[in-house]
Amino acid sequence: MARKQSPDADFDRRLLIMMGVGGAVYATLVGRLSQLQFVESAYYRELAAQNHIRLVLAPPARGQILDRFGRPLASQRQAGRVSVVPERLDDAEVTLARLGKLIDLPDTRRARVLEEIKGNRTRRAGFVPVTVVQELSYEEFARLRVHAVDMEGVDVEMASTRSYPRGRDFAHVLGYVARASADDLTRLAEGRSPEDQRTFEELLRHPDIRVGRQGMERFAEDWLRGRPGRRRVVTNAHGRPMQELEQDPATAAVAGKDLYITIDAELQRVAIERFAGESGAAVVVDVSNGDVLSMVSTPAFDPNAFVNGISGKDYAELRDNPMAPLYPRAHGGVYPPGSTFKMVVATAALESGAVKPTDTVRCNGYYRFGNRTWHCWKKGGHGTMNMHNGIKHSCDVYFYETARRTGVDKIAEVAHKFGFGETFVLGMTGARSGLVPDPEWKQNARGEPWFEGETLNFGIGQGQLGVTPLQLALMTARIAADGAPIKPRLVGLGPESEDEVTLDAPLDKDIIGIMRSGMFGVTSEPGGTGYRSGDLGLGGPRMAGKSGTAQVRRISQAERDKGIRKGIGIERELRDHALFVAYAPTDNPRYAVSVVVEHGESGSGAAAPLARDILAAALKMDSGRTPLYSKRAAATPPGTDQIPEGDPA
Amino acid sequence: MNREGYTGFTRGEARTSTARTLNFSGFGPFGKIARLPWSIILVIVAVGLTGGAMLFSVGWDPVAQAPSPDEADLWRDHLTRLGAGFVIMIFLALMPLGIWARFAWPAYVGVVILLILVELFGVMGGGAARWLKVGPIILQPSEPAKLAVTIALASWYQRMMPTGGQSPPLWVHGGALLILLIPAGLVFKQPNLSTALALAASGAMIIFFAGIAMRYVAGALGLGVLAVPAIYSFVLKPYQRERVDTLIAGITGKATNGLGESYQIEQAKIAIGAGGLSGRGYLQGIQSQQEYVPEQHTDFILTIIAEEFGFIGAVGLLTVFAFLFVWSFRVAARNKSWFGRLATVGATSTIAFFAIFNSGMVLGLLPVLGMPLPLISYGGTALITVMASFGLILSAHLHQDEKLSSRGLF
Repeated sequence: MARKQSPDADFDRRLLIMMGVGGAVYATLVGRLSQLQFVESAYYRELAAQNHIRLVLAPPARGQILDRFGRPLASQRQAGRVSVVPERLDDAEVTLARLGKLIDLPDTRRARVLEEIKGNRTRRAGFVPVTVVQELSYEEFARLRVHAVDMEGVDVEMASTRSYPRGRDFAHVLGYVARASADDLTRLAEGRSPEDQRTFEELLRHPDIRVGRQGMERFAEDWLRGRPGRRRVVTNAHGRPMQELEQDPATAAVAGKDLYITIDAELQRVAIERFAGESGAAVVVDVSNGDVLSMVSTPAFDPNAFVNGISGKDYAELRDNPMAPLYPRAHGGVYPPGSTFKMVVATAALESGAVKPTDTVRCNGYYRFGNRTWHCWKKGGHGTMNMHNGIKHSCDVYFYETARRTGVDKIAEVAHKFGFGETFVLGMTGARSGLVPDPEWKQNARGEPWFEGETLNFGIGQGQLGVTPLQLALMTARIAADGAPIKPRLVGLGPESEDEVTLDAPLDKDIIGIMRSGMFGVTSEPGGTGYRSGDLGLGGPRMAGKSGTAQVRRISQAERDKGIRKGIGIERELRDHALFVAYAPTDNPRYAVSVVVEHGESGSGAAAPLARDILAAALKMDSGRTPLYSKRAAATPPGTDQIPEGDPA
Repeated sequence: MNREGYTGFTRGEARTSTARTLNFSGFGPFGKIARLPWSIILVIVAVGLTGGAMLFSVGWDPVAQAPSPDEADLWRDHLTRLGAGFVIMIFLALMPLGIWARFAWPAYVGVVILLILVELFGVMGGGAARWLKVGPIILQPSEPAKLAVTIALASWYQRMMPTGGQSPPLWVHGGALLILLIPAGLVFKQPNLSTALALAASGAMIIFFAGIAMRYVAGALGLGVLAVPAIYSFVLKPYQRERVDTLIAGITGKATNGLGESYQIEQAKIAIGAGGLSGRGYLQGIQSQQEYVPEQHTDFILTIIAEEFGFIGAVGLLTVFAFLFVWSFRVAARNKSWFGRLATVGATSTIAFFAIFNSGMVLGLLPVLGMPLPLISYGGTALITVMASFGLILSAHLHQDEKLSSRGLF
């Protein structure tokens, strides 16, 4: 130091130094502030806007499913819902316990809600509400409205939920919806662009959204779903909506389209009631155009139970129920057709030329072939039978002989012409093809050659042959339509399906005429197996039909000797299935029906009355009249793709 | 600034004389109260009230357009503490420096004992033992430590400053360093890095102003710069290192992931930047009102000021602080005793350190440490400490001519 300074002066000097340092610090801070608040302000304003304006997904309303006359079969219904917001809950268990005192909240449900709350918290999505009960009863809703207002984090509100107003009636046709599973996500997101996929996943995860899991709901998923919209919402840092901004109409949600099916819901009801608790299936087809007017599989389940997730216990009950309510009998149940198959055998015989309609066979009640004996259902035999009488009396011996002469390959070929062995999906799930056996199939499946004796069984609709009630109804419709092509339809107005089968293999009108005369004989000529059921009670139109009995097991020789054939002495599960196929009116057919009454024993006794009543109801209610959707479609100017909005008829 | 021989009137003496002439004074506390620099006190209180207003904004519910019931306590607590702090500040301001000096050593020893007790029996909180629980009373000795160390150092130099206008010998500064390092080390060990840094900063300031030779200052600064990499690698804990990394990434404009450590500073920058020149208006800060900035009621309260009142508001606040510090330095310059000067410098440094470090941290220039913004951030002990420090400065102003004996201070 050049100059000695006093501490006092030095102190002042140091104060100045420090003030200089302080000034530099002040300048730095102000400089930084001007950088942030002048130079980069616009950038940060943009970031701030992005921060809190979120495009929240607005779920679309799912389209309704309506019957041919516009009656709602699946619709969106407003129902009270209670949910909790995890981030606003102090103690989720305490809150749920309090809710449990006000509403019915089973322990299993409670455990599931707690798990979901935990999941949302770990995903840092504590603001996403967790549904506690999707559908509150009116009383519960009212009670919660009064008592839950002071409960932090509990929301009680009205929400849209899928509802099946006709419950079990359409369980197997419509299927049901459920919350999207991981499987649904991959299945439905397939083939979308990555960006699209993200939105799509967000949509499917939305608590209000359900996806079709089974049946028509699944088939028409894209048609029914609609397009999600975006709402502009101001959210805080935790993602909680703070304020709704004005809605841009271009980004509003587009509701799903309504789906019309060809079924007449009232005819469906009549048919189900007529089963009166018996298990079985019935299918009604419009002969003129292949519209399926009724599709009954009973017993059924209530699809409403699936919408908000069915409990494991309830599902097990359905699954293990011996009456198999989950089993879609009408299009997925495979039965031996029994004698209802005889028209196919007869048609094959005439087509092949091996048999003429006038050729007769003598029935003594049994038929010997090789070293075995085949029995006719009528002990003692029918006497001399031509084709008309063979069908009318359902003479087994006549058909053993006819089948043997025609040969298995020809019968199988004609069976395929009638639609057997084909899968008719028609927009449903669970459809099966059944089985039309032939030597090639047997060689492949069993590694054994075809025995000619099997052809005899084939001739009376037994053996390996398996058909669905839907196939039987279509066969009957083709006969009723004099062999004209038939394209079965269940979707009236909805998505097109590519792989539907049209039954258009040529059938000779004269040959079919002989089948119709035989079926007329069954119900309307003395001695016909269904003679009592021909009159529909409508004072004019009659039905023609054919009974069938499908063996559930072989009848042993001992039983035959004891005279045990039906009913008494045999457990229900072992009793024969009763079948009946019919059409009406006889001269100008409009409707064809097939009825299967499981373990009903006698086709003419158990199934024919049902067929008669169903056909009578269809005629009386005019089920095949012009459906609502075709009127609407006609009213829509050509070129516009407008989809009519459904409304309850 | 020529103070050779203390001849002539200083401005303070002039004012005192004016007050006497106006017959305001006489002896006793009332005369003293009249002589307090009320305009300065008004500024201090105004800054405190600004804090209350900003806490009201933090607690505002923009949906309900009403104060959020959960956060209504923020501004009420703050104003209550401000009131208590005001009383303490005035009370301390009226204390003659001699009494301050007399309590310097008992206070120092007491604080060191308490810090040792914390070390032994401290209550854990937030991963650090900072509190001492005595029955229902919870003590946080690191807060009074700031004031105690300041007056202890000032008292040390008052005693050791050689007469005859010479600078003290080096060992006196060494002793001061020891006095400083004992409590600073104990606080650092808690660990409470921010308070340890504040203690070290104000202590270093006092040593600097006590006249340590410039070559030692330069040496210390040089060593400090050289030690930075070593401190980064060996002293800092991983989470502290991450904060430094975030900071450097933020200053150099490197993109961060916007999560974790960098989220807070990112959101703070967005709030400040979005404020622009004049801000979005009181209660209108979108970023702030929607709780995007964590810890906005405590360390990050400057963000809501910058968002709602913009550049004008933020620079205005910094300028008011700068004005208070310049005024405090002038108090130090005018005080006639070494105790008064150094205590003022130490107290000012403590407050200034918090103000500067807090702003620098919120603006993304300094790593994030628990540093409140003086008089504004929510937090009782810090507010009381700051008000007490101002009390000391005001006392030095009021008693600038007080002659202090070098004796009897131990």
